[in-house]
Amino acid sequence: MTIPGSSEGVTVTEDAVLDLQDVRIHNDLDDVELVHGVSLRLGRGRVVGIVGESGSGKSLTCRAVLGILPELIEVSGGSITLLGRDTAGLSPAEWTALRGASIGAVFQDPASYLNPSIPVGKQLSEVLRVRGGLRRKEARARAVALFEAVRLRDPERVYDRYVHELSGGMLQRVLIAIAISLEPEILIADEATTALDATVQAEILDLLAELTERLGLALVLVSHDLAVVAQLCDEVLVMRDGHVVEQGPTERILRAPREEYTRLLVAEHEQYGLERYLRTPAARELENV
Amino acid sequence: MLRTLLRLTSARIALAVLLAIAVITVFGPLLAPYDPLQGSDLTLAPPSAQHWLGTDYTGRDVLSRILAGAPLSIVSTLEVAGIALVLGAIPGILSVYLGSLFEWVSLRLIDTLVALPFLVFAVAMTALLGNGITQAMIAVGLLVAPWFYRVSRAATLTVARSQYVEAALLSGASTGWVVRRHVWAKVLPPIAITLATTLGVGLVVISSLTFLGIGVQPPTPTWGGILASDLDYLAQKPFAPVFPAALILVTVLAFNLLADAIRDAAGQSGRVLVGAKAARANRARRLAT
Amino acid sequence: MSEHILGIEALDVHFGRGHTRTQALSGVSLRVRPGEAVGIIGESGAGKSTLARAVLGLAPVTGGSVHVVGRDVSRLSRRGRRAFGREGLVQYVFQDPLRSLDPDLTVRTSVAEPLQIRGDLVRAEIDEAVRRQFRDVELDESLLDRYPAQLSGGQRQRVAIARALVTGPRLLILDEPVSALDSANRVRILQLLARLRETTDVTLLFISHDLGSVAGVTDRTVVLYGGRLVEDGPTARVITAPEHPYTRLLVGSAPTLTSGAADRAHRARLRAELLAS
Repeated sequence: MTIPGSSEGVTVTEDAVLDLQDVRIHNDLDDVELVHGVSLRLGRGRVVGIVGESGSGKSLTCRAVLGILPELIEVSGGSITLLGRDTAGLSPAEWTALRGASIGAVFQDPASYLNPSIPVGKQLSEVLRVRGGLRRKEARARAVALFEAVRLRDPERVYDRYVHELSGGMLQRVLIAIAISLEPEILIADEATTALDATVQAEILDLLAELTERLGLALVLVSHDLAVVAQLCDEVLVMRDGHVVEQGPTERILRAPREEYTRLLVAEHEQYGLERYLRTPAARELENV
Repeated sequence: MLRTLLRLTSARIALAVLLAIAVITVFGPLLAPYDPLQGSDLTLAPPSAQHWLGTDYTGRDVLSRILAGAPLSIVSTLEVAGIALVLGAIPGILSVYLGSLFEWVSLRLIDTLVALPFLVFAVAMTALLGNGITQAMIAVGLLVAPWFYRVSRAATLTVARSQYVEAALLSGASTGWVVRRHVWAKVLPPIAITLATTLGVGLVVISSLTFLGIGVQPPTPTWGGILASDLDYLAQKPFAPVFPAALILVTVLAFNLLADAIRDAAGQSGRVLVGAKAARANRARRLAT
Repeated sequence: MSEHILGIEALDVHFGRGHTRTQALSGVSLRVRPGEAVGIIGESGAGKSTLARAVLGLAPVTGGSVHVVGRDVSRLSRRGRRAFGREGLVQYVFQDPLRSLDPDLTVRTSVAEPLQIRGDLVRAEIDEAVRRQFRDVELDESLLDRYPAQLSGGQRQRVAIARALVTGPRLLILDEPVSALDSANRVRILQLLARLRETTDVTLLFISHDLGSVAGVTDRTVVLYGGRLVEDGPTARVITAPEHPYTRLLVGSAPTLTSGAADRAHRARLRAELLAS
């Protein structure tokens, strides 16, 4: 018997770093429930994707996991277990300790998350010095190393650049560097590539995939585009109007979607997307061999 | 916006107080039981049944003097705000549309006015133009005009650079059309807030000037003047300054409260503020079930 | 030239003066027939918005020309631009309808505005035209007196399209028209535009940075890179057999339902190729 909403066919052999059980989120201002029971288990080094449009509840779920729900909106049911700890009873101080060191996040529109009057390198150093306890020189060296890890060309020069001197893709890499600087186990990427150009989007997704493999990071990838999610994720949750419409291994969801809404998402790509004209270049190359 | 405004408790308190002040201003001289300029032998008397607030150093009824002083203080404040509004808001809006020369010149003039210290300038103006309340008001109005200039310019700039204005321009709209159709409605709320704040500041300044004896000569009653003369006789009537000071305080407080309320009511924050109480009730109900 | 609704010849566009002078477009040539749907693809800074502005008569043209419906719009005066805008031959749909609709005006007023600016119809006629346009974009008339914030993203975008169509333009430029929308609404808008092409001979220019979003609706795709037109051909050909290294990278980068780890290496190779070219 499968419990509705539970992940089928995904074996979690190690402890989950993130465990959501029937999480519900309520808006006290309008007195309406916004998210109606999300359950997911994320293992170390695994990638889970959440697909949904605006209003589907995907971003609210992420904010609940990070403890940054907006005013008058609260988790009203279920439980969120982060690295073995129930987040329901956490004090603000405990939350602060968790954020960054255990769980990091990057969002859409990277420029708005950085101070425009301070060089970006200094902003990363600040995190390393305040939370990581590093001294100034060490922090700078580590920051440059992190910039290199996120594949920024010429990391030493980027260190001294201001926000307005960098492109969207470079800024997002800076934010990813900041997000992983304290070596968290979990990274949440909420529409992290949405505002970027197509080629840059692919670069950032490739970077996230690489970091997941290299650092053993568990990744939650949120997007409105099923293809973005399909590219990286082992497991997919499809959300709509606060409900988890369908959930399961990526391959199964794409090959044999059970729900109407999921089928619509797949069909949209096949009708109006590139799928209409091609299979992937790599696949075709393999065919030609 | 007016409806949202009236739902805020702060706005209701402010408007009630200001209504009372308005009544005093309009009917004050008529309500005064005694002639404010009429002295008597009963000097520096404490409050009694015949003289509710007692008498001053020449035997004049204090209550009558305060009531009679209201029009001068309040009307002067209104005139200061009016001068500031006209001299500030109109150039502010025009600076966006009349070309770079007008913009540059008006900006520099405004910067100059901002650099001048309030009271010193007012005193200097009256020394130059004569010691009359009108001269004092023009001086203060001129000095407050920059606030209106900056606020209306900023609001106009935001609108002028917006996409809906661009859409109108693409359809061949003239500048006049854009101002009438789009700019006006966006500029009024910030101007209203500034007006309320200016009234508060204006009253303090007018009271200060009359306190110093600038603009108005005794025996004409003004709240500032009454306060000044009360201070000379503190030994005999230590509580005397409380009455005029309290009136000035309460009125200025009401103006500032109104300004805050307008700012809160004009926008999304207004809705949340108004809904906070209801939201708390919803939450309590939800947790109880 | 007369059978082309849009004729761009060797267009150069420069911004700024002196040492801050930058070239936004360089030698761009493009001819579009009435009724075509052309996708204009390029990354930010490649010049697609500048090209759109040139078609609207708003770009500082320094070389070449732009002809729309036979008229030269490359060097219009301010008054000329206003007059051209009032004719309503070319219209523009912005990317974000939340920003392109005045939040303090009802959608009825916003859609009516181009006609009111033109000033040649009476109120009753304008009202009728607005209602007709609303029906054409499949919006319920009951929404006419709502404010933009009270509508969903999909509804807002349809209002924006209605406003663009109300003057009966021959050429419609759409800037990322569906990127801010959810799946269901995306499909609806694309179907709406397809229907529009069937019922009228309006020419469509789709601007996007993402090949995938225009693949389904355009007959022809042109690619801008660094201010130059580097690829121009039928959409199917551009996607299946791209010639320019940037186009190849673009096709390799677009997320598809079947791409995966194997393609990462492929993309890395394409990036290296582009840098070398």
